[in-house]
Amino acid sequence: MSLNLKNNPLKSQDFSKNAITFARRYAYLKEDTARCTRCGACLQGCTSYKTLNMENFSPRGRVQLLQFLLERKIDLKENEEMLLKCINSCAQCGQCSEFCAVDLRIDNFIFDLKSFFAKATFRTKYFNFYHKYPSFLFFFFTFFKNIKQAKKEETKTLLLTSKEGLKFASSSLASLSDARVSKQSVYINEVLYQGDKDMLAFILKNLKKEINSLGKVRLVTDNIIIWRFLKKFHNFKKIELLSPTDKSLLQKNNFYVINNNSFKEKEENLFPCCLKSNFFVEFTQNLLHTPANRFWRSLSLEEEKLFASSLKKYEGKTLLALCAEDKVFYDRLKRKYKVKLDIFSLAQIINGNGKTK
Amino acid sequence: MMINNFYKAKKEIADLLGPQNVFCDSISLLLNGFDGSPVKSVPQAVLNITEAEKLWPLINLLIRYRIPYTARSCGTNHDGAAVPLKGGVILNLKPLNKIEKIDTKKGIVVVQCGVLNGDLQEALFEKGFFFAGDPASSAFCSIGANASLNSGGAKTLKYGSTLANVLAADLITAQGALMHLERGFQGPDLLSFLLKSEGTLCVISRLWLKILPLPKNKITLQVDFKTLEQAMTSVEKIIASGIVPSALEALDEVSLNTCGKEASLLIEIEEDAYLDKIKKICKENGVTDFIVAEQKQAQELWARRKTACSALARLNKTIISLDPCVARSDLTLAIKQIKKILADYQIQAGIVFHAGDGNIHPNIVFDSSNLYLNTQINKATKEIYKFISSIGGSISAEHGIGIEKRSAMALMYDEKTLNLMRQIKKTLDPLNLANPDKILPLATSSSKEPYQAKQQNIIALQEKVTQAKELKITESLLSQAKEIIELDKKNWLVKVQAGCLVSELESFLNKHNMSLPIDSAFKGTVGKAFADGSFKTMADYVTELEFILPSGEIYNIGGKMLKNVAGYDLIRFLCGSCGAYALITALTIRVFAKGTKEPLKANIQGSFRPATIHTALKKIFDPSNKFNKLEDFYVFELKKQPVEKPRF
Ligand SMILES: Cc1cc2nc3c(=O)[nH]c(=O)nc-3n(C[C@H](O)[C@H](O)[C@H](O)COP(=O)(O)OP(=O)(O)OC[C@H]3O[C@@H](n4cnc5c(N)ncnc54)[C@H](O)[C@@H]3O)c2cc1C
Ligand code: SF4
Ligand code: SF4
Repeated sequence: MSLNLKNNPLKSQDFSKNAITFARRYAYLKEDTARCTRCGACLQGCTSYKTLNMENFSPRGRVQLLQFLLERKIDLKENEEMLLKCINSCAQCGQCSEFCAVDLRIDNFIFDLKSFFAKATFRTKYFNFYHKYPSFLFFFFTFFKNIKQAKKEETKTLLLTSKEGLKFASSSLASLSDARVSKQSVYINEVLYQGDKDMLAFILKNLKKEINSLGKVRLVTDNIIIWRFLKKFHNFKKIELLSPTDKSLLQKNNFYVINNNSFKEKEENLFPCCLKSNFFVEFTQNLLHTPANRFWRSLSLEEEKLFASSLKKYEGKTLLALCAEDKVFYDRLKRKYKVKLDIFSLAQIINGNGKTK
Repeated sequence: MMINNFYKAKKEIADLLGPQNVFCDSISLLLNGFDGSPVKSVPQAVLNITEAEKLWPLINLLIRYRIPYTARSCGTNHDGAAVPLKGGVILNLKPLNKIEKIDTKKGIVVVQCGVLNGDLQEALFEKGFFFAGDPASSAFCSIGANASLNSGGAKTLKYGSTLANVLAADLITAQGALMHLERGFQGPDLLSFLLKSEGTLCVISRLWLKILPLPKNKITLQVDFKTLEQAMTSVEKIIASGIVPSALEALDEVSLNTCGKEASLLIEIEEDAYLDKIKKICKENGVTDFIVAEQKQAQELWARRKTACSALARLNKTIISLDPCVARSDLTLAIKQIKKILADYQIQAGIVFHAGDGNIHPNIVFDSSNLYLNTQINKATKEIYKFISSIGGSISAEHGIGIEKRSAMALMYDEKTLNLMRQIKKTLDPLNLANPDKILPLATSSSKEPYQAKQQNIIALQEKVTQAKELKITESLLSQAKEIIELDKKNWLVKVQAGCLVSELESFLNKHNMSLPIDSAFKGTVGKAFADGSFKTMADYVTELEFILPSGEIYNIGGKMLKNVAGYDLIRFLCGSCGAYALITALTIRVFAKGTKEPLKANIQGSFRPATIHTALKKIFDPSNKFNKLEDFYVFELKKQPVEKPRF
């Protein structure tokens, strides 16, 4: 069940060749990015722009970057470092999309960029697979893991950090003072579930249950998405926003800090609730570099075959499809390549018509 | 050649700024070569300026190596002003974002050029103050660029645009001199003149701004009309009645995205007394809905106004925002004609406008991938500019000229005026390095008839100037030119010849229950008041200026529109010019209802101390040294305190 990350094709491949793959795979984004009028309205909420003070690190810059990548105007081999810096400095807070004059989902574009180019191995893994909702998933994993921990350790203050894609967040978020944030409207960022009602229902149901079992807790988060998300719950009205870089403050308050290392532990920890309901998720090596959900369509025939053959290795097991489109795709593969897999969608699990093992 | 130059200079630049602030990778280059306009270009390097003090040595270095440079802050201007046309380097000024000092007692803030307008407003709001320059883009544009474009907004009508609220600045001229300029300095208003050059004459590093206490009383009104004409008539009548609202905005049918009502006005007033008057005027002109908004509703209304442009952008792929300005009495006509032109070319556009200033924003939305449409739009915009110029309006009220409107400059100004501006650029930036090739049309020559004097006494003056070998510019020279040419009650403007006494003009105005924005006790002519530096800020109220240069050529700049940022600001330059540069013959001045405006007080502090830049400009305006001589001003004080103040 463990993953072989050494063969991550992204790493072994020539970086510059990816430009072609990227341009082909994400060609459908051309039209979206072309809608950007370069008005700059999105600059106003962007922490990475305000801290790094350069167009390279602004949402508008990133949309343009995507455009240039799609037009294959950027030599990736030469510009790898800057490219990764541009992408990784984004906090994926979603503020830009809130302000965009033409309603572009800028942070989604950045997910696309990240999912394709992000280097850190385990990040690549999840981003590629769930790149529609990476921040959510990280939050999700972390959260459950820590609630577990908190139950054991009597730590009643949780610090939720979701550092996905974002080593830089710690520094950029420091400049995001509470005052600024409190002025913003509060709602669940669409990015979290992006119209995927199954997912949302699933989170809400489990989250409430878990949190109720904890009693009264004080939650502190450095991530605006999490903050917004939790704010939505009546019992989370008081959520503090805090910089995870402030070590002394953390210690003083006895915060339980979660860092990325948490994810490197055993895989069961990743999906405790799924395990609880006797389901488990399979990550196959080849899933790592295939585009997820709505992008299945753009898979070439070879890629599809490769993917199907990797699925065969897991015959007899149960696969959880996180969104409806995934399920459709898996089902199609199952039929076409005769893979013997049980595939369930979240909806099936939530509604209780999923099979338990 | 230029490429080599940059690489020769690269090491020195890196030593100066630190290698981490010099970017030459193609991503940085591609991502800093655009702004809010459709134009794109690629610089050779992007330099992050993290310390204001380094700008001066840097620019000198760039001049030494002849590398073109373009200042760029947030890159949100609509006209390609921040696009590096000739390559060279981009000076990224965004990191200079410190608010250095807020002095609420004196009403001054000191800011670095890259401070976001919105951030400043937020910081001031906490202290109960505000800064009057407020473009709709305030949350994402910088103060430095606001000054360099003289950005305006809803509040301009009452408080003036950005420049009217700048008190002093540190800047580096295109010749490489570091200057600290203040509005109070005697002599021509170099501060405003250099600032408002879209970065083609100077780079601003620091600004001293005037701040005002937040108004205690603010009433927001939403007034709906069935037709746009009715709304415009109301605007004209409100203005004509002498009311100065703090904002008077309008949205048309497309922008409102509603059916049934064609136009809606958004009015903000600070005086209760205006409310009934406005209500009465609107009632007489077919108002359908008159709402006095509650605080929360008012906030929503203003937010809607500020995002109107964005809302329009959603209608199609691309949006182009034009910003012509006309006399307020011409608003109805201008809008009708603009709508007609757009309809003729079958172009979709929403019109949002600062009705109070006569500034119209037709926001054209279209599919930019459609080549045919692109050409149609080019044709239509040209026709709009042609029409605006023909009725004496300005092609740009607040967005600036940049590249996009460069050729339209030839519609607005005659060839001699364009040449004068070209010469200014050439003299102050001989190597054409500072934001090259902007503002002035490169190849297009003007299609406008050269301006001719209309009155006999002015023609006589012109002859006198031509024939004289030397001419001392004094009040007595204009003793024959003291006509009050026109009192435009609709627009609250008076056009007067420069020889008219201020007191006489004031008593004439008083008969019409109007008054001048300057102290009527001033002993002297209007021309003197304007040119001798008694009222350093008088140019804020002068919309049109006629003057004769020593060659005998006569020029006329501006018109009846309140806002005009097209080209270099000669009106401001000549304010306080002490007769050394031009003979001012006529002015159009804004007037106010009697008793509503605190007049400016005459105040001469110090005397005119010419510096090298003055001499350079003198050579353009007066090469034969015919008019008042700069040497006469030098006598006592040059050594004591030159204007160019080396600071580092
Ligand atoms: C949605 C939207 C609404 C807008 N509404 C308004 C409005 O209501 N009123 C209005 O006036 N404008 C408006 N604008 C236009 C634009 O925001 C302003 O012109 C603004 O001043 C540009 O600021 P910037 O920091 O983006 O400047 P940039 O685009 O970076 O630069 C503009 C010009 O200034 C020069 N420059 C920049 N910094 C300096 C400096 N320190 N020294 C010398 N030169 C410098 C540059 O070289 C360039 O020529 C709007 C734009 C958008 C997108
Ligand atoms: S998601 Fe946040 S950090 Fe990333 S570009 Fe948008 S506003 Fe900036
Ligand atoms: S707000 Fe939207 S349209 Fe404007 S620059 Fe940003 S991404 Fe482009």
